[in-house]
Amino acid sequence: MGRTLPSATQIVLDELDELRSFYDALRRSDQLILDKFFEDVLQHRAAIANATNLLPIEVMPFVMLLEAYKKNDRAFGQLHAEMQGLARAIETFASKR
Amino acid sequence: MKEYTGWLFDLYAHPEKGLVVWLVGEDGRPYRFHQDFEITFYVGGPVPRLRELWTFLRTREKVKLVRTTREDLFDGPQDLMEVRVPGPFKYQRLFKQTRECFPDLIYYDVDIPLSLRFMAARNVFLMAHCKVAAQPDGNLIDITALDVPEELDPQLPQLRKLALSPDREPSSKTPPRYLLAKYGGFSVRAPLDKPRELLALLNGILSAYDPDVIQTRFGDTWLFPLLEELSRQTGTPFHPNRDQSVPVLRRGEVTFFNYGRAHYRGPQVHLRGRWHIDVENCMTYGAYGLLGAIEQTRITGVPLQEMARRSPGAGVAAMQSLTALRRKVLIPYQHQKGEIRKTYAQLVRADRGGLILQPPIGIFANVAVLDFTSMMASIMIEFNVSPETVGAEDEAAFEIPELGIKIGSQPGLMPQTLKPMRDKRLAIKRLLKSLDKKDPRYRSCRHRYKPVMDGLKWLTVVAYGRLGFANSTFGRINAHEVVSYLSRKVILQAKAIAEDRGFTVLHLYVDSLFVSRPDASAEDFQTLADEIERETHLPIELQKIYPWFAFLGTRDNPNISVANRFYALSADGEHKIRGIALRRSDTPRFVANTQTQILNILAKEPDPARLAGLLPEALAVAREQLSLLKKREVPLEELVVSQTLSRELSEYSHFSAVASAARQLQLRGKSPRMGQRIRFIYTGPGTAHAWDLPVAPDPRTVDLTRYREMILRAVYEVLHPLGMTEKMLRDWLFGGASYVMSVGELGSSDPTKLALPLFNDIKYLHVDSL
Repeated sequence: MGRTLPSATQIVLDELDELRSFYDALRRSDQLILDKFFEDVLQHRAAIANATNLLPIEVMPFVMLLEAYKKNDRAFGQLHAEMQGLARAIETFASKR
Repeated sequence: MKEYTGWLFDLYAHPEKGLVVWLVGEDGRPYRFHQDFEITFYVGGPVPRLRELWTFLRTREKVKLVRTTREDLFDGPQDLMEVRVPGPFKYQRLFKQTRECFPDLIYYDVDIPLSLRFMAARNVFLMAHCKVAAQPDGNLIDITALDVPEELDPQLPQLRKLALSPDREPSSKTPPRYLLAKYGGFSVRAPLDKPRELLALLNGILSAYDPDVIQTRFGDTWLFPLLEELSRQTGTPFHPNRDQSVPVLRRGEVTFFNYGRAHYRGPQVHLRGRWHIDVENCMTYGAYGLLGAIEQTRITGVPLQEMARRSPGAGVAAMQSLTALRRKVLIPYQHQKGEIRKTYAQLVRADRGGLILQPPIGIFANVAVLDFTSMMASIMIEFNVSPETVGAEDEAAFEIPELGIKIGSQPGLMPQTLKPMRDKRLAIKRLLKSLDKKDPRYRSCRHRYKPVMDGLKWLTVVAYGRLGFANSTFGRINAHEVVSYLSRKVILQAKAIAEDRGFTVLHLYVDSLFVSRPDASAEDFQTLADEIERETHLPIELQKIYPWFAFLGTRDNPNISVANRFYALSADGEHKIRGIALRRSDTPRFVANTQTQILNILAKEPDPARLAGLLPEALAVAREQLSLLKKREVPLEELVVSQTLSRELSEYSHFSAVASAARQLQLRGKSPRMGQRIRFIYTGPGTAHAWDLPVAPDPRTVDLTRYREMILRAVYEVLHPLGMTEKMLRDWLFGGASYVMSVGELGSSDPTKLALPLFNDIKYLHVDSL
């Protein structure tokens, strides 16, 4: 059978490879952050390939934003829960006094 | 004239009798009939050339020539010359001469198997329950089918089976010493070094027991060639055919690529009047056995000895040809329809397969798997997708603007071919599902229907691939692309429905949805399946609900998931496992067993939050296995790796372990071919010892480090969705580290990670809690 076009994974890996010269010029600490972005991109490679009307590089920032939003949301949720716990503890402490 | 009832068992061309037909009677006896059977083919081309052909053929004996008009599937009515040849043997010779002298003409209906011609002409099918009227000399007058291929529970004959197998594999270190024969409740062990006695025994079984089926191990590649050689050496006649008037049919070995993998099919021995099935030389027979193969034969019209050995694609091609013959549509010879032109943007949109998403890594509770039944076949049926309907321009055509293509409304060849088969499979699947597993009838029903269902499954699966296959007579890549496109649309529609109902869609895999909702009951999942079926018009089944489901990451980066690596364990043992070591055919048994033992431990716990509590038990198993390995107490057979030779040995530039093992076999006079599986044991970095050499490897040379790593990877593979890191496992197994570990070491403590942080729930992992 064989396909003319590359697979979803190949499309994304090719795009990431295009960023290699940019990546190489970054500091190690920045490269590690970019590695996390690339993991997020690879986790959504099927959705990127499904957007056939757009170039993969156009969709990739959306994926990074999406994952960053989820991480922020989760962190805020945890922070909120911690704060509520603290508030309850303070209330309990205050009522005992 | 006499009448017989039984099952249409075998048919083939005979040099004197035209066509020979075998019936297994209701009384269990075989009956042989014969018939003069005319073969018809068609020729098209410029009129002057056809006139020359007319002159050429007119001189040939008893050939009838008629001018006629027949329907081409793509190009409509065609003016052609019809050539009728008396008898299949004469036809083979005549067509060869015609083609050599007139290579420029267009031929139709020329490479159709004889069984299909007979079935189309007499409206019967192989293994049909039928009635035959014949003259006393065996001349077949009439044959009528008493059932239909779609029959859900057809009456089948009680076939007499003879099983033959060597006491050990012919390629093993020491050659086989005995032939084991099982038939009619008897079991015999015959020494191979007494050829006269062996042949006398087999001749005795063949004449007295007269088996309908000879099922062998290595019959094609070893047993029948050996028996023939022994017969020649000793002068003892041996003829395994039931029809003694024709020789055994032999086919040569083949190597081929299928879906990017090399395959090897050894030489074949086909019998006449009885079946020979070599279970070691079949492609998919092992998945469904004799019952499934009989079902495939009934549905496809391909003789069982062929069907059992060949890929299901051959069956689908035969089904298409049979539908075409019955519809009186021309079957082109080496003639394909080209691709319909498309723009680059349309190519980008069309040239893709089914939709596969990446699941989140980790363990998820209460997950159901919903499967579209025969999705691709159902799409072809529901949307009338067929090579000739795609690109048709009739007024009622259904348009797909994204691909710039229309699907015609005239009933397509492919949907017509597939619908009876798909409906039958669906009916059986639903029948089995309706039975309570505790019902005593369930086991017998499953035993009866499962092979049938699996036999049909393979046919429906390859039907989709055949649409885009370059050598397919009725293939057209555009039709294949349309099916893929519609499958993506349908699965996304199903996803949206599930999400609207509050389910989380964890994973999509072409025709399967993995959905979860913590509070969902079995009824909720079933209601979802029903709604998806109602909305998409495609049959979908709730396959199973698992208390928890683990999705795994890649070996290199555990934060990136892999679509087809997951496991879900169920207390009833019906696990769903894909892509891990124990499912891979190249994993040594010892490694696979280790992984199985750990999964069996995890299977005991239905609550995913408590899985981590089983870690000490799982690690104890891993340690025990590593200890056995270290003490060299593992039997060598359990360390054997089996890999496929992906190219011919001469084409290897770098000798990998498998190539090195194959080379050792070659030096010993064997001839390993591309596609063959080579068994070996790792003996050092990049080196291996071929398992099938006459000398066993020295146990001291086994590469323990390599096997130790394989165990580590296999254990890590199943434990990493619980939050285990490779470093942690390595420390625990090899470094003698205790369970005490700082929270920062745990991958799952990362708040940004999606996986359930299961390790947070076990106390001994937290330094601060100790």
